[in-house]
Amino acid sequence: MGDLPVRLPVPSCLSDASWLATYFTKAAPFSFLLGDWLTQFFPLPGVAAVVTVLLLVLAWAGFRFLLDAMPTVRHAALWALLPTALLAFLILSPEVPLAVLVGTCLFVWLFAWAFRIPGRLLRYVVVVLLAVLLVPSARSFNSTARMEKPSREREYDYRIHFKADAGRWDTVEKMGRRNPYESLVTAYYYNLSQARAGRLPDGLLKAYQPTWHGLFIPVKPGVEDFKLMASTDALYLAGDYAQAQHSAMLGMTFSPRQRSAAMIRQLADIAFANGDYDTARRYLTMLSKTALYRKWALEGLQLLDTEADRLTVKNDCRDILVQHNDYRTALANIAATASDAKTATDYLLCLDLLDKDLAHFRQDYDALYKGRYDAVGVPVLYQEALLMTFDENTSPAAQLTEYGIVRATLDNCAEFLKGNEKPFRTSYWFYHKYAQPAQ
Amino acid sequence: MKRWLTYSVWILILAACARDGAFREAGTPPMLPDYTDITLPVNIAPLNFELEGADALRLEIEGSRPYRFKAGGAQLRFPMKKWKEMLREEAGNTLQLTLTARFGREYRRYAPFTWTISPDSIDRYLSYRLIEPAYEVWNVLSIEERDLESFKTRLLADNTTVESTCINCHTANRGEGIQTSFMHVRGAKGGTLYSRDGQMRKLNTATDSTAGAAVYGEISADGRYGIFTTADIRPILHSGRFDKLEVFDASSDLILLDFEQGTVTDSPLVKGPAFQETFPCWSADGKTVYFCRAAAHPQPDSTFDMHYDLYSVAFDPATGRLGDTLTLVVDAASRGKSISFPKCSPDGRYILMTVADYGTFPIWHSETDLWLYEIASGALFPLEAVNGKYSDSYHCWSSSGRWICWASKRDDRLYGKPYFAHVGADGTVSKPFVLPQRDPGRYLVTLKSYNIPELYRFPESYDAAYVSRFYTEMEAEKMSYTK
Repeated sequence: MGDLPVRLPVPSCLSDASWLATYFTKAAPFSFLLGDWLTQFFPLPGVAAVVTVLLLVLAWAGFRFLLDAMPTVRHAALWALLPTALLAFLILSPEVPLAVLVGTCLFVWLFAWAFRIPGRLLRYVVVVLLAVLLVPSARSFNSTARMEKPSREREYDYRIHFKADAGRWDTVEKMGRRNPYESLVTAYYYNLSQARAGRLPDGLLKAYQPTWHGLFIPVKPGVEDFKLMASTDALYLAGDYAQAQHSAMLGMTFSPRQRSAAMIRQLADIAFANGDYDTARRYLTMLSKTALYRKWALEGLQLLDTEADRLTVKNDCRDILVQHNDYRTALANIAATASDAKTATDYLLCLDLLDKDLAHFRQDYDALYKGRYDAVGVPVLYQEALLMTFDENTSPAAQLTEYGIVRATLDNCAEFLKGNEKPFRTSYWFYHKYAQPAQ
Repeated sequence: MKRWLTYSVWILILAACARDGAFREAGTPPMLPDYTDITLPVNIAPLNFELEGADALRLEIEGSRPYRFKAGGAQLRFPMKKWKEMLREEAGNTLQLTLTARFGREYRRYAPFTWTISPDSIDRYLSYRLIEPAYEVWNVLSIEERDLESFKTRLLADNTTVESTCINCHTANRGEGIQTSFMHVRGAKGGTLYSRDGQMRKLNTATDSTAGAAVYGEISADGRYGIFTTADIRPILHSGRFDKLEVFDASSDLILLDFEQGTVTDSPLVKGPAFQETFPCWSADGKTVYFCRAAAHPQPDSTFDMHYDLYSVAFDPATGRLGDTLTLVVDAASRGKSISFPKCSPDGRYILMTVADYGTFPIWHSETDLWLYEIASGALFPLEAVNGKYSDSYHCWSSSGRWICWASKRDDRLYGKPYFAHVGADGTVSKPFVLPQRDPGRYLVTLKSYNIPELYRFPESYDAAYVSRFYTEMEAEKMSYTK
């Protein structure tokens, strides 16, 4: 079963009546409430597997108990395995909420109890009553549960997402390098691991790259809510807090019941980065009522109460208007006007390169990187790309010196041009020659 | 029995000791929401409030007679019957309130504050749109109707029942005539839902001769005419720290709808590419249309330079024609400001509007404030008493003109809440208060923004289920263009 089932966490504000009351406006409130409450702990190691197995055992016991109540059924324990197996298959799909499993347990145990009521009339009345009450609730699961075939790729994506969420970036890097399903999300998290370590250009082509789609996940109608939520991380790291907030807000809007605690936490982080402390306080207050983020939120609130004046505002770029998903314009603005813009600059240059847009790369490199970040050496990726942009009418030696191209890169280029490409599969020249647009 | 008695005695002794806790005077109570020193309508629902961390609350009210309310926790929820009696008996009076709270063994008595019970009742119903402040995308949104005399709400529209399309702008006419309202439902089967006297129509307001369907607008007091914008609305993000979203019109014109004749008309004065016209509203007598107007510039490149002034044009209700001259009412551009959402008071004396630094859609601008324009004197001034730290916008008048309601993001910059303030006969405006909720902590946990609050006198004759059926089953009436 591996790390399955993994699900996007949703919060339950245990201490707030208004919040809980919203569950009672829809069908199957207890199932969804308990299901959501349990799901919020799924990112913690082992919790998902333990909770799911326990619920399946409970469901099996319920089915057995129910079948035992029927005098004609023999080997009830074995027969009970059938619906339990079906349930297990159903719950493997990440799109099926845990509430389905919780609801089934409640449903089965209530019926099992009803079938054991002494007195035929009373028994029939209770069974019919339960059917009238519970069947509409069961039907409501249809509208929330989109059953999908279990996908190993999705499983891998979810695992890397939760490793990243837990801060296990070494594992993320290793999983990203493997990327066995050539997944966009895995490539995205791999790039994130590299960017966090300040080596995005160094590691970029050492793993699968679905062209520039591995750098940012575009936010648009029809994007799965999981990808929508993941899209925030790279934007935040690059310092594009406007688009990060946009993504986080949409991630929350399209999450189950529009209340993803992970997204609220992202929004609080973004508010801190913007120095927008009233907004941060709003989100922290909400998170302080959740079980998973309570401690973090209370620390944040204390910080706001005692040290708000001394907090660092990360977002100091010029205010311009930018279309969402227009990463070039946003990154160029951050790279040009923000005080801490190394990551944004690397993302911009890598975006140009993965998009095979050498003209923009050279323009951005000259304007934003050269003279600011190249004192300690130029990443090999940039050197390789720069060689492709050199002016044929200008002295090669002068350009090599000006752009800090080392001898080894020049030799490798000569070798590649001779047709000996195999040793340079991770070079930009190889990428530029063979990479095809991602499907 | 003996043991039980011993325990009981000890419990009583401990309880008595607890009552002897430290007692101290404190300043203004940090109650949530802030209901200190406000004017409230005689028919408003109980102003339940919360004092964070308190273990018990006691509120003593001095009016024509004393009232006392107690709560065994951090929230004080007034009993409905006693609350209504108090407001009825104290109409026109100013009450002195003293709040005492117990925190563990410590008692705090806060500085007294006042409630002035205005005999001017407020329109009983308020509609608002509940939506995540999620920029240009909606997932789940609804329009609710709230009975302001209680906590009852009901759904007027729910986009999950109309193919998840956008629903907006529930707006009612002003005045004493038959209540008439409209609401736009977008999507393939959508249209403008026009409701009058219990009858609903679905109208297709787009014609080949106008720029598009009706967007922002108002219905005349008699319900016959509607003045609307047709706008090509586009959202775009800010990259800076505080403003999140800019919404601009690539183009916008005005159109006039005659609901009786089923026609759409316009005027060369309020259409064309040279200027952008938007947010029209009727004067109290229905003989003037006020609207915002700016010279058109290419956007988004020039969005920061877009400044909308307030203009007016005459309207003849007998012929249904707009006049042939425009009048500049407020020159906002010369002040480096931009006007949106003008709304005329029912007594014809004032125009309430939002003023921002630039642009046409100020709800995301932190600097957006409510300003009042006195028509007779031409005086224009910000409503200092009501404007909050962040955006105050989407306002409306009550039918009596004695109350205003608007969406304020004063607490957290992001989530709008309906606030009310009293407007005196002399134009003075009281300190605002937020829409009371049964659970006063509700605003702290909701992820929905209260958007476009609208006051009206009678409950709408339809609900979300009716709108859903109407959306699905009813063909929209096509309105025709007439010159």
